[in-house]
Amino acid sequence: MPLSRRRFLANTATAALGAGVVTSCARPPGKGAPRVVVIGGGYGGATCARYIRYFDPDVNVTLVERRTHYQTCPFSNAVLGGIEAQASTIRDYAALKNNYGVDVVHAEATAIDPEQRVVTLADGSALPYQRLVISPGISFLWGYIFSGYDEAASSTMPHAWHGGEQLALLKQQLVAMRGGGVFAIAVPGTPFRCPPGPYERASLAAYYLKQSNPRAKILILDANEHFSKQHLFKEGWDSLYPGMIEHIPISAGGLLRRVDPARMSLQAEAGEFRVDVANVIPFQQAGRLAVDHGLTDETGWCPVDHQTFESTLAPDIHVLGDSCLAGNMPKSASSANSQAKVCSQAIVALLRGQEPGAMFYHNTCYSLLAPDYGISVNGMYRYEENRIKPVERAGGLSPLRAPREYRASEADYARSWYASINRDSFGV
Amino acid sequence: MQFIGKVYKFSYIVLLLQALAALNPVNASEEKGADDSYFRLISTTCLTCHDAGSGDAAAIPRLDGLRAAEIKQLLNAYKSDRERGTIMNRISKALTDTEIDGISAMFGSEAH
Repeated sequence: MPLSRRRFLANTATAALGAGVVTSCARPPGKGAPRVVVIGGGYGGATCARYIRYFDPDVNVTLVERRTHYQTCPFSNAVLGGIEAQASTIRDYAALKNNYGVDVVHAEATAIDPEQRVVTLADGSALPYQRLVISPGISFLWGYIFSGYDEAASSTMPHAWHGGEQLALLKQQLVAMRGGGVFAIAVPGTPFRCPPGPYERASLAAYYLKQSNPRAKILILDANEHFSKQHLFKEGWDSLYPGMIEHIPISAGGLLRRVDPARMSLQAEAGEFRVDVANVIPFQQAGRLAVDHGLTDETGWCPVDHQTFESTLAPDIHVLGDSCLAGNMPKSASSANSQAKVCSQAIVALLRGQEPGAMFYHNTCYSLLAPDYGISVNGMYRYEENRIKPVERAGGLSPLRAPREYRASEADYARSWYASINRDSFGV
Repeated sequence: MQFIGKVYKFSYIVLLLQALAALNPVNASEEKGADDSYFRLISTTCLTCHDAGSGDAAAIPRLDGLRAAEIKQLLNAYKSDRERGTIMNRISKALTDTEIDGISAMFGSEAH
C-alpha cells in the first residue's frame, strides 16, 4: 500500500470513526442519491445508520425510531444492583442527526410495501427506499409455556427485559423485599436476548442483597440445562455469594409452567414456589415489525443471507440484531453492532452495483458479578462457505480460577466497553 | 520442444506457488477478499471496544496515537501469548498476518 494511501486511511479511521465530527460525513448527499431507511434505533439500527454514512457519505439514511430516547439493556443489571444510575443507561439520537447527517424521524412505521419499496409512517407519510434495514429487537411470546404470564401479570412480576419502567419496578420491589425474602428469576428457553443476562442479574441482585438483606435468597428457575459462562458464574457465586443463589436446571424441574401473580406463586415442574419478588422473562421471538411483515420463519426468527443480512424471504429488506438468525452469534448488543457494520458495508457495495466482499464479525460480551468482578466471552467469525463461521482456536471465555486482579481488570474493561460501544453505535 | 518447455516451466511455477500457498496460513478466500474495504471493515470491529480519539481516559486503551509498527507488534505479541492480556489474546488469534498488517495500517501513523 503506498504511503499516501496508508496515511489517508489512518486519518479516516481515527478521525471519522473516533472524533466523529467529519464534515464529509455531515454533508448531505446530492439530489438523486440512494436512500436507505433503517427502522429501529437500538444497537443494530443506530450502528447501521451511522456506518452507512461512514462507508459512503453519498447515501441518504433515514432512521425511524418511535422513541426519542433509548434505554440500553447492557448495564441494566448494574442499575438493578445499585451500582449504576438508570439515567446513565439512556441514549439519544442527537449525535447521529447532528454529526453524521442521519435523518432521524421519531414515528411508528405502520406499513412496509416491498414491491413499491415504501415505508409508511403512522401520520401517513411515505418514505421510499432502495434498501430497507430493520432492527426491531425481540417480542415476547406472552403466555407461551409460562401459562398465565401476560402483560398484565408483568405489572406484578416484571420481566424487566427492556429496561425502562419495568426495570425501575423490579428495582423497587427488590429494595422493598422483606428480610430473608426470596427473589426468583424465571429464564425462558433459548434463544433469547442476552444469554448471560439472567445470570448476571442474579449476581448483581446478590451483590445488592448481600449488603441490604443478607439472609435473602435468589432462586433461578431455568427452562434450560446449561447456560452461558456457567462455570464462571458458579465459581463467582461460590466465592462472592456462598449459599445465596440456587439454580434449578430443567432436568431438576426448573421449567416454569404457571404463574399466579395474586398469590406470588410460581409453579414449576419441581413444584410450587411462593416467592417475594418474581422476575419472569418470557419466551421470545423476533421483533413485532418482523413478525407482522412475514419476515420470520417457523422458528419465529428472521432468516437472512449471512453476507448481507438481506432477508431470504423479502428482497431489499435487511434484518439485523436480535431478530435475525445469524449462525451461532448470540443475541447481544455487540453482535448487533458487528452485524450492522457488515450489513452497512454490503449495502454500500450493493447500491454501487458491486459484489459484497469478504466479511468479518465479532462479539464481546462482559458480565459483572460485582463492581470489581467481571467475566467475558468472545467470538470471532468470518463469512465462509456461505455462512457466518466461527474462527477456530480464537475467542472463548475468561479462564476459571483466575486471580482476583484478572476479574477486577475485566470489570474495568466491562465499563470501558460499555462507554465505547455506546459511542460507536450512537455516535459522539 | 520449445513450446512444451515453456508450458512445463509455467506448470512448475504454478506448482511452486501452490506449495507456497499451502505453507501460508492465509487461505485463498481471505487473500481474495483482503482489500481496502475489507481492512476498513475489520478495523471498525476494534472500535466496538476501543476508542480512537473522542473518549475520556478508560481502561481499554485508545488506538489513536500509536504507530503502525507498534500496533502490529502488539497484535502479534498477543497472538503468540508473549503479551498476556485478557480478551486480546483470544481476539488476536483470529487474525491472519495479512489482517494484522491491514489493521495496523488503518490505525497506525507512519511516523517512526
